[in-house]
Amino acid sequence: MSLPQGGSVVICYSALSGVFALCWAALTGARGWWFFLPLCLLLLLWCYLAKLSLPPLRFKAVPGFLLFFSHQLILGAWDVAWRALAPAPRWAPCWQPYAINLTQAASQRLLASMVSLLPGTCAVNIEAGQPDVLLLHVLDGNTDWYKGVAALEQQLAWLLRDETAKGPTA
Amino acid sequence: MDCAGQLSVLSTVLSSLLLITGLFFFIAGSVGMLRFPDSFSRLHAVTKADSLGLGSIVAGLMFYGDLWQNLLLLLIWLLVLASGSVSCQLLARFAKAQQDRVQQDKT
Repeated sequence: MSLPQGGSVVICYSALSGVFALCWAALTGARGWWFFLPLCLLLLLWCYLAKLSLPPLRFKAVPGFLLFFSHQLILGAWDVAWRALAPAPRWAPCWQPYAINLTQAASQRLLASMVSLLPGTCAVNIEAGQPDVLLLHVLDGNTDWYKGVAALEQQLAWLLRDETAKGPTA
Repeated sequence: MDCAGQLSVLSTVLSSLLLITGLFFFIAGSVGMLRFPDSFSRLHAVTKADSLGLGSIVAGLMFYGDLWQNLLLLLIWLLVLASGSVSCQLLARFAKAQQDRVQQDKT
C-alpha cells in the first residue's frame, strides 16, 4: 500500500486517529483515555512503519457500494439460512479459483474479506500469479457464484481511487 | 418514544419483528453449524447468518436507546462484521493448509 505524501499524511493519520478513538469509545464506554493516548500513538507508528493507510475513495461511489453490499449481505444470510433449515441437504461444496482483476494488494485483500459475506462464497487464499487467483470455497457449486464475486469486484474498482474501473474478464 | 419513556405500538412491533428476525438468523446459523458437512461450509453459516442476525438485533435495540447509544451499537455491529469476515478468511486459510498437509503426508 502506498504511503500518502505531504499534507495528505496529516489528514490520513488524523482520520485514522478518529476511527481508533471512536472504536475505543464504543468498546470502553468512553473511559480510560489516558491509556488510549499512548496506545493510539503506538498504533499510528505501526501503521506508518508498515505503510498502512486508509485507501483513497471515490465518494460518489460510496452510496452505491453500501446499497450493493447491504443487499448482498441480506441475500447471503438468507441463502445460508434456508440451506441450513431445509429438510433435504441443499449443498454441494467445492473449490473454485477466481482470477482477480484488481491490481493493488490492499484492494485484493479487501475483496477476499468481503467475499465471505456474499451468498455461498468464502475466500481462503490469494495465490500470486498472472493474474492473481482468489481461491474460494463455494457452498453449492451448482449456483452462479461467479456473478456475485465479479459484481463485488466491479463495485470495489469503482469505489477505490487506486483502481481502474474496468469490468472483470471471465 | 413518548414523554413517559414508553415505546409506541408501532415502534414496539417493529422492534419485536427485528429482534425475532435476528433470533431466526442466529438459530439458522447454529443449525448450519451442526448440519453442514465440513468445517469450510460451517464457516459460511457462522459468518453470514450471524452477521445479519446481529444487525437485526442491533436495529431492534435501537428503538430503546438514545442517539449516542445507537451510534455505539452501530459501530459495534460494524466491528463484528469486519472481524467476522477477516477471521473467517484466516480460519479457512488455516484449515486448508492443515488439510493440504494431511493429504501430503498420506501420499
